[in-house]
Amino acid sequence: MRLLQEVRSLRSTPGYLRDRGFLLSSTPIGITGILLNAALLGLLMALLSMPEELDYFFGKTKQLGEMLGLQLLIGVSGLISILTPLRLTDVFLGPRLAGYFDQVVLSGITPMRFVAGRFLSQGLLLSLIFVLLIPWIVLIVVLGGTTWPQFVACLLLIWVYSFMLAAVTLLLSMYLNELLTFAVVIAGVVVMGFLGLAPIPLQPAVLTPLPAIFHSSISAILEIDGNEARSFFSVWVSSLAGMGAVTVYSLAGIWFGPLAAVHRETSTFGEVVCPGDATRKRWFRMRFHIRRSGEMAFFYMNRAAVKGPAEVLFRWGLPLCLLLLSVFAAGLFMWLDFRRVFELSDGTPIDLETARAKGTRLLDYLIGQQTVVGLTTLFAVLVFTHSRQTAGLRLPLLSQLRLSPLVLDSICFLSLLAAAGGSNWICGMAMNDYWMQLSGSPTLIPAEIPEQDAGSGAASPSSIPDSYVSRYAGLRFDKLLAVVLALHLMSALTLWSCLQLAARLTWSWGFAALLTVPGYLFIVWLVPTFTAVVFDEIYIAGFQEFARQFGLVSPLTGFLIHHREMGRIYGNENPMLPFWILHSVLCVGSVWLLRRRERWLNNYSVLGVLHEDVAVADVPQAGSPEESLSGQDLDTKRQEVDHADS
Amino acid sequence: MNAPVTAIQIQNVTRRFDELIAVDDVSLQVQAGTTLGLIGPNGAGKTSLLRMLATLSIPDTGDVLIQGLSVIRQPRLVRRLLGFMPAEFGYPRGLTIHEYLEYFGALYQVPAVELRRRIQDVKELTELTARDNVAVRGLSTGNRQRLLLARTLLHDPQILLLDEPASGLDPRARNELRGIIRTLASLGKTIVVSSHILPDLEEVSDSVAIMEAGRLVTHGSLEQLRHTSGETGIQTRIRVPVEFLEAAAVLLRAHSSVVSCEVRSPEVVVRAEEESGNELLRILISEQIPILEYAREALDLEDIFMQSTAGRVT
Ligand SMILES: Nc1ncnc2c1ncn2[C@@H]1O[C@H](COP(=O)(O)OP(=O)(O)O)[C@@H](O)[C@H]1O
Ligand SMILES: [Mg+2]
Repeated sequence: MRLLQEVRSLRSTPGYLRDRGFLLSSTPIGITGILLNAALLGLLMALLSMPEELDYFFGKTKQLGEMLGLQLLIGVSGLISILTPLRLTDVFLGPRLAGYFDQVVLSGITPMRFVAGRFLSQGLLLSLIFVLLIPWIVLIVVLGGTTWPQFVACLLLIWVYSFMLAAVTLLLSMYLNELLTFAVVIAGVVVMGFLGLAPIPLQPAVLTPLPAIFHSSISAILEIDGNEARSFFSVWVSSLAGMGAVTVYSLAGIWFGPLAAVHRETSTFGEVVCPGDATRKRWFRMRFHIRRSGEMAFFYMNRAAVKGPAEVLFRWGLPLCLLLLSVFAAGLFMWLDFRRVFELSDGTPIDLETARAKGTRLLDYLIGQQTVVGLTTLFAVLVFTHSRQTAGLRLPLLSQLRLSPLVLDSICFLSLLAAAGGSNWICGMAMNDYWMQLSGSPTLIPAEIPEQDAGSGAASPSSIPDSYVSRYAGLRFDKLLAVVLALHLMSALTLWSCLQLAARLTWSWGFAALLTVPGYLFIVWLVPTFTAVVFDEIYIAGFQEFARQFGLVSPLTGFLIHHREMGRIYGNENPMLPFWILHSVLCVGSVWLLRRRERWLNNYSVLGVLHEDVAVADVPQAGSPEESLSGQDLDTKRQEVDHADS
Repeated sequence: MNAPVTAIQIQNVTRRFDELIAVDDVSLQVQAGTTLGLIGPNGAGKTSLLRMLATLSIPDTGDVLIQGLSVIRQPRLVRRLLGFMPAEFGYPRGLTIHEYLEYFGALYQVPAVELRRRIQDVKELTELTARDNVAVRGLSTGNRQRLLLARTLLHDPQILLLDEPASGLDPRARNELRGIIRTLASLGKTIVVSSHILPDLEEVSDSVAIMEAGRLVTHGSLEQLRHTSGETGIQTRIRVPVEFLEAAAVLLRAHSSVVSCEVRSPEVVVRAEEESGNELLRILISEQIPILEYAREALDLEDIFMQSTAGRVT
């Protein structure tokens, strides 16, 4: 009941009021409606005025009706996919560009409330579109041929889909400028759409209505291939659940807001004039830098600070769980499907010849699993990266334990990397074992078979899975650890250089990474390997041994040795001791530097105080209109504040 | 409220932009229900200071307490007490006056029934004469400033921060604006109003703070400032023929009661410690210097300002 009231009250938010004003009165939409309906009427009249044609069509009307229904559903989803981001990307940027964002912020409205009206007005947009489409629907009823329950179910799904798009667009527009938001949303829609149309038994794209809309065609294709299609109901329910989850998550994201804190450099609302700003503005007319997280931080001061560990759980716990799930699910699905292909129904392996024929299938699984894990890791980099402004924040995890975003980021990223590495390793091992069982012999390729042959087109197809699996499984634990260590070193170095330059330049994490990672790759990966190779050719007394050892510093050398490319210099197996020493030292060193820099930044940031005290002192709930601050209220509040301070 | 209550307390506030110190260790107090005029040339840091009071900018050091609430630690509570009228005026596109006020009423979460009455009130208060369905875009500067002020008053804040409300207005509109500010003051609001134009503030402010290059040069009630500027807060202007100006100045400076004596052609401006007007006249007459005009007057804001800022005004 209270929730319902709360939602009703959102209708009086400025966003809703303005959208209503626009959507219900604007001439363009009226004109579109008239044109649309006129065209439809014309079509209908033309059909009716030609009875003999109608006769001809009569046999096919059912098909025609079905096709029209399908077109309508696709048309509406497409229209919404474009209109929604167009309509909503400027939710924060619009006020900024028009120059009244500060007035919005000062009104004390919470960001959630500010955005919620626009989210709700999505319903208006949809109603409008549906109303405009009534003649179409009438036409479809007349023509017949549609499965009505499914049609209505699809319409409902489109309704949910449009709200999901709205929530996602609003969430993204807090982080990106309008062009980027639009691009990301549309890209997401397109990718999901393609995935949704793919005839896969287990449909992963549940964030688009397309699998439900095209259910009959997709299941027909699947049945040709002899696969079992999911029922419409199960597709519908999973789509509904997926979209609902994303909507709720996005709204929660808006409620929590970006973890942007106020930094000395950004502690003013409005643009700080820095040297070079004028040039930047002149060159980039589109003003890509227009989103200043500082301003969002000022806006989010209107929200009561979250108490307790909810914030940590939402920002780190939940994404970590989801990412881990994605990693494990990728491994599990691959493994299950692998067994399904290479096992008979009674659980015994298929015979070797059939297995070899299906060998390429194995490759697909490996690539699929690694792609998912890789994308997840990439995504994790984005999720577990918080701007340097937040370095001074301390978030409560337990009553005593307070961690900085940097530490939380690192912990989460490390766990994900460990999980990804572990899952890669386990999958590889498990498959190798299984393969050995199946073929009855160790699959490691004898040393005398040159690697190049196995990879080249000249090799027989059966040798491909052999070598691939063996290579894959041959990635032993220590080598995996080496990769993890190298990745971590890179991320630590990046963070450090980002923080190092924080005071002087407006540095972003991405920019720091762009400089640090190539630097690291060049100095630690390329140079040593190159040295070892070059000085193997040129003989300088005493130096050759050094170059040999120096080469071992690089993970690249290790990789080449593993693939037997450096046999002439190192033989087949070589301890990578220099690598371990250097990387351990560098890792410990960069973590130490990071901590030092972070401590220094804490003094530089205004924040530590800010948020914590707000959390204690902010007693009144935002958003209750009848609340007024009388003198008495203020006195009690002041006492509470004093109390909190002491 | 019987005892004076401090509505705004600025404590050693400093704000830097890179190398530039926009506000330099400013401390000030404003009593509830009074009007403070914030004066300073362009770039003195008035806007920077007001934005810190309005929680739109965070002081590097120091703090500001608004009715005892800190702008750094409790911005959320402070915002509800304040009405801030920025110098630059942005507005949502394509709105009429009425829609504009409704939009901000909704932002401030004024209930719909209440809002209608409030809109009527603020329009009366600010003498906004333009019709409801006129587009905000098409308003004259005077009406725009009125609309902005009306918007600032919508949620009935006790404390008003007005940043250069008179800029860009013609003399008549300025006069009307002064009237509005006086009305607001009579309603018991605490007002901080900034301007680089002195006569704007003279009539409306109970106390005045003069800023220059980020520093607070002087502050107090007009009376106090007059006293610190010249002991009696009174100055004497004596007009003599131009050829006698220097001679007169030399004679007057020699007198023991004279604090300062400036030549502002075609007059000599004298500030003396005590009532010595007749004495001075006698000296000049005895030296055969013809006196064309003689006037005694209270110091106005401009004189105080000129004196405090030592001519560094741009
Ligand atoms: N966001 C900003 N970034 C850099 N410098 C600023 C910024 N805002 C104000 N300043 C500088 O601070 C000084 C004071 O400006 P301001 O407070 O606007 O003065 P006033 O309002 O008295 O004219 C000016 O020199 C101005 O250039
Ligand atoms: Mg200014």
